[in-house]
Amino acid sequence: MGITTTTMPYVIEPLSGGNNIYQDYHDKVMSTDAIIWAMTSTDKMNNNDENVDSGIKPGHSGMISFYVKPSKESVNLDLTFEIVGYSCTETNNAVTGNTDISMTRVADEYQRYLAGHIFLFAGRDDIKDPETDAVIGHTYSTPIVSGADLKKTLLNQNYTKANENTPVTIYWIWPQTLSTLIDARINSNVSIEPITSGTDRDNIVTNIATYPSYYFYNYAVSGVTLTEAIMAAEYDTYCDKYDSADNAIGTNVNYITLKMTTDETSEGE
Amino acid sequence: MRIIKYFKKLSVRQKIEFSVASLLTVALLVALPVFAWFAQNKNLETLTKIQEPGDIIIRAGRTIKPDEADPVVNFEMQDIDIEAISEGNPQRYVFSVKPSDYNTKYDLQLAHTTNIPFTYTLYRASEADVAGLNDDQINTRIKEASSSATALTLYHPRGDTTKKTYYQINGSAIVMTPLNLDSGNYGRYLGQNGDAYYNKTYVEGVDDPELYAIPVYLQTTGDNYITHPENAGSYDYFILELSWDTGSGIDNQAFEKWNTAQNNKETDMIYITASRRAIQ
Repeated sequence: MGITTTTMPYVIEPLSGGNNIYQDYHDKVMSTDAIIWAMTSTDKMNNNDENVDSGIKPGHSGMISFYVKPSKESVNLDLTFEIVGYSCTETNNAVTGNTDISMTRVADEYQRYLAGHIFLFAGRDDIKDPETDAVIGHTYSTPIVSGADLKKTLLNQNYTKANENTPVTIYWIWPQTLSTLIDARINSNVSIEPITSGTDRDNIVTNIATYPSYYFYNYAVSGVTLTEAIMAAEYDTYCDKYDSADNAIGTNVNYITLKMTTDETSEGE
Repeated sequence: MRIIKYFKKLSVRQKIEFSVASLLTVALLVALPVFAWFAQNKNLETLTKIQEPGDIIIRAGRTIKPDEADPVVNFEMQDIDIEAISEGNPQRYVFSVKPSDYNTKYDLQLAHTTNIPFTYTLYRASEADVAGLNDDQINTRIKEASSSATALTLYHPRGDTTKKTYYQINGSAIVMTPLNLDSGNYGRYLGQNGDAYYNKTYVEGVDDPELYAIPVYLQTTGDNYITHPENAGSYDYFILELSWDTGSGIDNQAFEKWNTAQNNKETDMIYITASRRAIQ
């Protein structure tokens, strides 16, 4: 009588990429149930010796990719993304001569700002200059917004092609200003066009209204539900709070991990 | 061994049950670890750094390092020559602003008290090349330049006159809008008493500032923000010019009266503030 083993319905593989220049820091906090997501130069996470810049800041964006290899004809996956912030202290060890790295999770307040300020999208299109055809910007679609647990989930993604690596790309952006997320152009001081439109932008506005403490610094809860119109009318106040949250991230968080966990979509979803 | 003896004593049916149970147990033990190994290939994780935000910095002129302005402690407004001013030669002082790595636009504010009826003018500046000028020529352009086009301004670090850099004025005066002028007493421009800006500075019923201590606020507003030209090095240099109104305006008469009364040991305070203009 032989032993039969069940195969996993799918496998996730990272693309082959460069080494993380911050691997020493990652080693201190890496989840035990994940493998390293190697980054390439197009992801613009700036943690790779192929990148010119080091680290990310507001205004940066990129694309992160991986392979899904289903082992059956069709598999449906839920992709969950989590961003965790760490502060870091480095001390010189007089005994070993090395630098000791100590990573501490930052306080909940800054974890919330990270959940609100670093955005993930499933789709992205280029905006091209009509004369030169050069890419001058992007519009984004299908936002993957943060939930109550600060995680972002993309549900029910279908992958076919058994036993073949299907590349999947997720787009990330750290929006520079509030006016890229909401349409504040009814305010005469604002001229920036938002990066999403239609129901995608409605989803973002709803997320801001549901979790304003993810987007705004020291948000005082009031009975008012935020709408795009309210934020545009008082844009000075809200953009200042948005920028202050960015500043709080920059001064309190040194490193972030981006983790993707995958699960088969359960029946009935 | 005992198990084999025990096994032989079982009935055939019991033997089969025993075998199946053992095999399933083994299969279970083998299957579980294999599954756990694959669990790692469901999840991916990376780590990157968050850059620190840049700050707007105000500094003095530049002598010490080639690409960095001197620390702001070196900014001094001293040796103000009142007689030179009354002869039509403004006194000029250099400072700089670094608008962080973001190169965003910013606003400047000058807040000053009005004990001395100076006019304050701000210009953009850059280092001047004085090669080919002898000391006399340089001094003339510093001390006797009533026109901003030819004026040179000397900067040296505090307490050290051996290091010198000369600055020239570029372009016309930066437009600064006064927020709270009151053309009040004695024909002088003063800070307005009792307006919104007054209420932001003083507590009603508690503070009772002297007339000339109420600051006048001058700001770049609207379209007059300062932009940082990206190819011009990381610091924006400015020249603050102290003068008095030589026309028939209100400050002219005020200055003459003030100077005649031998008040030239009065003290004023000036605050220079740079504030990043939010990207809208």
